[in-house]
Amino acid sequence: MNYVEIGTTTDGQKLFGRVDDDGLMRVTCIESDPQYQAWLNPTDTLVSNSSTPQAGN
Amino acid sequence: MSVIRHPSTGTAVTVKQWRYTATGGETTLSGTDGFGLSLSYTVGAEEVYINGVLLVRGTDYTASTGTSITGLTALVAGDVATVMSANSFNVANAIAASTVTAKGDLIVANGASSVSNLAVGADGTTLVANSSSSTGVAWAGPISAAGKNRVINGDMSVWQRGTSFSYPTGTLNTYFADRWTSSNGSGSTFTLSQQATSDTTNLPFIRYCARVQRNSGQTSSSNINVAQSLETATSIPLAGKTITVSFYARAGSNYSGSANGLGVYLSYGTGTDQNILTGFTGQTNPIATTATLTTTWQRFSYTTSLPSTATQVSILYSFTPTGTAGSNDYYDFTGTQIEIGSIATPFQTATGTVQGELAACQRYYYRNTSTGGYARLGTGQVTTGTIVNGYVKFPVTLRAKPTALEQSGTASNYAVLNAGGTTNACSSVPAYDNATVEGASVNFTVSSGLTIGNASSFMDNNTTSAYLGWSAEL
Repeated sequence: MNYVEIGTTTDGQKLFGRVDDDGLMRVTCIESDPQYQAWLNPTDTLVSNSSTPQAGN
Repeated sequence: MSVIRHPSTGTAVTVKQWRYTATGGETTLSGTDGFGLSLSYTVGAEEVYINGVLLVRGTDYTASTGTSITGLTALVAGDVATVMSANSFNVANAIAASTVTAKGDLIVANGASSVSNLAVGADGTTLVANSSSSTGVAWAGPISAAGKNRVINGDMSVWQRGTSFSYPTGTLNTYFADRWTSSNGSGSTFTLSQQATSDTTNLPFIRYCARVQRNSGQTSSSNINVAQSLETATSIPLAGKTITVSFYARAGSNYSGSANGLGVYLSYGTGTDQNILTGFTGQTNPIATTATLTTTWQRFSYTTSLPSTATQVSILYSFTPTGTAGSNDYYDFTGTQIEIGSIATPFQTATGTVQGELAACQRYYYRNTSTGGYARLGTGQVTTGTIVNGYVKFPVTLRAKPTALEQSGTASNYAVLNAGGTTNACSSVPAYDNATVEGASVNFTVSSGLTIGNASSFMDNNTTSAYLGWSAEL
């Protein structure tokens, strides 16, 4: 998964497209989109591989 | 003998007085007194006097037979021994404890001056007036109450995004059924799908469930988590309250959770509108336990208390696989309920209606899915020679303004209507333009042929694969 800048919206905001692993762009978004921000800041992501799960992990 | 009569009922209470003048040396009293009355008494109700002084039972004498007093200090000639004894009697109009026979039974009137036992009702039922009942009351219900259950789509009936998803490893916070999200680390690929509960014996009243399945042949033991986070506006009414979470679950024949266990976590936090799969501020798990599944539907329930500082609440199920997945390495769950109180009352959806539950889901996510045949998805206006700017009104007000647009990823799934009524397939995927909590604008791009200022429609390009989706999820 990757994000690319694809243009601007009518009100001039940057427009981004999420390109999935199969090459399809299924999501377009503006810069404030939480998933785009999570992609920009991957330290926010957490999924545990622990054998002792904690809620949220 | 003295006789006392209850003033209202006339019930007799008899007090017998046995009086004897000692000849000297007696340590036992029995037989007939000087008035022809034989000594008899109710053990434990007797009073023994010597010369008017009350003796102490068990110390000064023994009274165990009902017909004799023994163990006295030897009497002196001329001592007057008196034994007083009342017969056993019942207090007038007292209700016998034996009227009730089991925990929760009630004593109710079945007429004037007449009572009977009303056996305790089933869990969740309510006592209501019922003139056709001999007691005038009856257990009824459970009474449905919209809003009792804080979990939206607890019956797994709404799946706007689709009804089956196969996820790669590393899936994080991906929504499947409405309001339900999932994650899996670098572990196994897995599939989430909607299934019929298909059990008219054990779970006849809930139609659908979600199946969490590790794909066959997978070997990772990484957790597969599914969760629902309640938004802060829904969580705060639970703060400082005792709450109960309940759900139904069953295992597939190859379920590989250790000892058939499924992790169950009820969490709270102190932040605002966060998602448990990306973390709550101040996260605490007052319920962190394991439900032991079988291949038959069971209901599980757990109760805890939340502090007054709780502003976020979530429920999370965690499947920790073991070994190599077989073809039925899954568990099903449904009927999730979080309610105030210390018992799990019968399951009910959050809104109590099909349409209400869909609308509740659409507050967080709305997808307009095409039915094919060039079905119109909305209308708009041509803004350049190649772009139609369309608008979609949301069916309900969203929780927050969407910042992204979801679509199929294939431009040719979409088309716009040209002047004259011909269709023009899109050359780029529909793109987010703007949104409020009430609706959104979308840009549809074609290669050429549009006239600026014309009205237009946008539609599927004769396919059921086209859709437009907006999220306001946590």
